[in-house]
Amino acid sequence: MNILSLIIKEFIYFTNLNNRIYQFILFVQPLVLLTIIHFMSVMKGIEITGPYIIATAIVSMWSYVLYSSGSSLIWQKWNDSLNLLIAAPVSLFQIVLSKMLSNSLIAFISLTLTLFYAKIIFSLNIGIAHLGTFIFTAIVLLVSLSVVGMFLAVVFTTVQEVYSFQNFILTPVILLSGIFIPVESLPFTFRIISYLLPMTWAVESIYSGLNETNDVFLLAGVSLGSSFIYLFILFFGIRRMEKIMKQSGSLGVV
Amino acid sequence: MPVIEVDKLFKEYKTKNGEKKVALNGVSFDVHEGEVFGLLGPNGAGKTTTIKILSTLLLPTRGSASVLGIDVIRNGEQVRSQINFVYGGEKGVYGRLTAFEYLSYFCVLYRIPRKQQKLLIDELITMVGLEHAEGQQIYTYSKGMIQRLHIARSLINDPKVIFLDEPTIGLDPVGSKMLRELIKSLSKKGITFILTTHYMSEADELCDRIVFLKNGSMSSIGTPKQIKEECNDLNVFEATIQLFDQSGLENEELISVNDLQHITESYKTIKLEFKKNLDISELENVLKKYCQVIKIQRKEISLEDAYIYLMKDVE
Amino acid sequence: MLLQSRLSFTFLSFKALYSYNSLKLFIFFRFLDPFIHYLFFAMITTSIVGSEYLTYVILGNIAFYTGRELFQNFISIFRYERRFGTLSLNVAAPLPTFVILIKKSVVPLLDSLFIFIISVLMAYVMFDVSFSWQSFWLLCGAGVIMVFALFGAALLIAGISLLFSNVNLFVNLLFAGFQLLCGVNFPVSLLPDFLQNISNILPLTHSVELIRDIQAGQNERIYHLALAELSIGAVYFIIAILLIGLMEKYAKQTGRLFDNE
Ligand SMILES: Nc1ncnc2c1ncn2[C@@H]1O[C@H](COP(=O)(O)OP(=O)(O)OP(=O)(O)O)[C@@H](O)[C@H]1O
Ligand SMILES: [Mg+2]
Repeated sequence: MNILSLIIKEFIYFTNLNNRIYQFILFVQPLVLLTIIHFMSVMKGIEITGPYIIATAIVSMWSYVLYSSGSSLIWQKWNDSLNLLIAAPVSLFQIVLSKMLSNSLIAFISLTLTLFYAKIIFSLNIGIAHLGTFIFTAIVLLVSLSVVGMFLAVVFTTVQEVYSFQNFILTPVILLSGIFIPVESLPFTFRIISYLLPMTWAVESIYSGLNETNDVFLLAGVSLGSSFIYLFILFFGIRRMEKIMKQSGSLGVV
Repeated sequence: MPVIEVDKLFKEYKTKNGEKKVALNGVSFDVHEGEVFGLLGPNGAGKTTTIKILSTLLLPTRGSASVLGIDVIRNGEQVRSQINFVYGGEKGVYGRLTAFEYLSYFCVLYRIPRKQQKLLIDELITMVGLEHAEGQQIYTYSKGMIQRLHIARSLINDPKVIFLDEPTIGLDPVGSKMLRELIKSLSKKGITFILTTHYMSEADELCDRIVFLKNGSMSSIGTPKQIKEECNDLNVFEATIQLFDQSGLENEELISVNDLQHITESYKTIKLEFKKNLDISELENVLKKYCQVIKIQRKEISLEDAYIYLMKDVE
Repeated sequence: MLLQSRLSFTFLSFKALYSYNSLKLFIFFRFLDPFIHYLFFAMITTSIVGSEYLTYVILGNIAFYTGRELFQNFISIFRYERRFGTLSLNVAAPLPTFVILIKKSVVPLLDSLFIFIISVLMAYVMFDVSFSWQSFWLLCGAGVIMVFALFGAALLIAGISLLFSNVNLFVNLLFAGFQLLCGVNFPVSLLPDFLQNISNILPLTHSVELIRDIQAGQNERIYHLALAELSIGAVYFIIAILLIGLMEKYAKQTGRLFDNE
């Protein structure tokens, strides 16, 4: 029950109209990005195809997940509520988990919104052959995005001035996970990091779903598997954090 | 000619929800050269509003005000080089600068020639006792140190008039004594001060004259002595008692108890106020109905008593 | 001499108000951050329309990024002053507000020019944007013109930003507008007519074209473009000064603006 109420609280906070920056990331940013891509293709005289629209959507989702998970713990820390939360009967891991789920939910809205914009405003043909496969792969992607987002969020809490540094993660991850540029065309060392990110596999699985190749489920499986490994590490990382926090009364020393 | 002339000043603010709020309702006074003039009154009385108008940061709705013969409403810019001000509190500093740098910054804003700056700043820093922290960044300062820095800043242009809005807020006893001495010595040199404070003893010690503001109107004006005398019909006594009928005492019509303090379990001191002009033995007889009187004496009226008396009806 | 310059007004306002005061932050925000920004658009461009458009998009984004940082700097300076409660101290000083503003603007203007030049070099080294030495100097000139032309708009935007309690949405929408309307990633001529009219009176639009022309070695239009950009900049500057005057008046009447938050 606790988790559910936390999810609802998170959801309300991050879709609250007063929360301007998230409103922007959720509603306006996909539109801006789509407009740029639309006019770029007009400039060259080509049609935008499905994968590019999906790519735009993934960028929006990832920005949302990163900003929201990056700031969530910080935000709570600033409000001194972390101490209260730790004293509360919910464990920190549960908080993080609920945060992740609510993130996924909102990121899913972001995805739908981008596709909606593409269809209605730019009358683009998205060309999803198998809706079921697409939704499945999209959910796999959401899981991987949230896990990585949360993973980074926990790392963030140990770094000061987090807000300013989020940009430095946003783009490199987009680059590495093969959203726009195929991973194979990256230099070798980058490729290794790419394959360590669960979303690389999820992205590939979405694309192969669109191309109707048959390794969709294998790729999705790899992505889910690696997501769970991250989740596992996260779980122990957070347990450790909790311990340290209880001893020192602050997060600063992690 | 007075240094500051304030005539029927009226200020109405519009609050965010569209209502109007009268902050000053016809305030008039004059301040003379070298005077320390106190603006006293409860929160929201209009003290800061008055000071902001006089220091050219705010325009009144009606009325006139001049400082050093210059109309601050029309020609505010002309008077700025000859006045300065301090608003109490920790704001108004650039935390990353050192005290020395901060004062250099304001030297530029007050057009102090380059060559004089260093000497002047050193002198001011010594005057407010910040020598030891001169090279430290301001964000490391305590409240009181920031307050001292503000005082130093306010002296940077050798002003003829200084406005101090709660300058001793957050100062320790040594700091506020230093400030009081500074104000006294500067006013002897002919610098005029307008001061607001919530510490009555401070006002009593420093101010040559005082105006009490109440909901934007003046309730009385004069020297601290005159103001205290205004309250002479006020009979304040102090008694040490052993109380046996508290509710009876509280309901007694001839006296009102201002301040009840427990000394020990059974002994208390009370401050009493008398409506009629009774003498001390009559008072003792009234009291005896409710308690055993151990000691009773007429109390000399302090500015604080006068304040409480005069501001009685402020909600 | 050293003491003198360390106590100069420009240096002091830099130290007091600039958010990157350490070398680490300086590297992050003056090298890495612009690089990341260009990287993102380079990625989209190569992926969607191919690398032959890379130079076009990178140059547009250099102008955009420089402008954005300029605006951002002015906004944060204004807001810092208010948060610190120093805005009223500055306004109440005998030096006219206008003069103080100009003096304080030196640092952000120089900073933006620095960003511009760094970006041009970055484009040359990392994104294969080629140009001759002569064009490099011309580009620097274009940078100076752009920064001056954007000065007025920056003051205007910073002034307006004081009216918002939460400035983020306003700023983000504004930057999105600049990105779409000023020909940063695609030519203005693709936009609907009424939007093109807006583009033509926005600062930045002409700078973007100026920079592209110089890099391509087409020097016929550059004086015309520079003049157009500077004139637009001058108009914004005048509007900004008028607005700031009005705001000062408004602040004096209402007692707001100087020190709330
Ligand atoms: N900018 C403003 N907008 C609206 N109302 C204001 C504004 N500034 C002050 N007021 C109101 O005007 C009245 C007088 O305020 P002022 O700050 O002058 O009081 P004060 O005597 O300095 O009080 P304090 O002792 O608390 O400092 C108050 O009721 C206050 O709420
Ligand atoms: Mg006040």
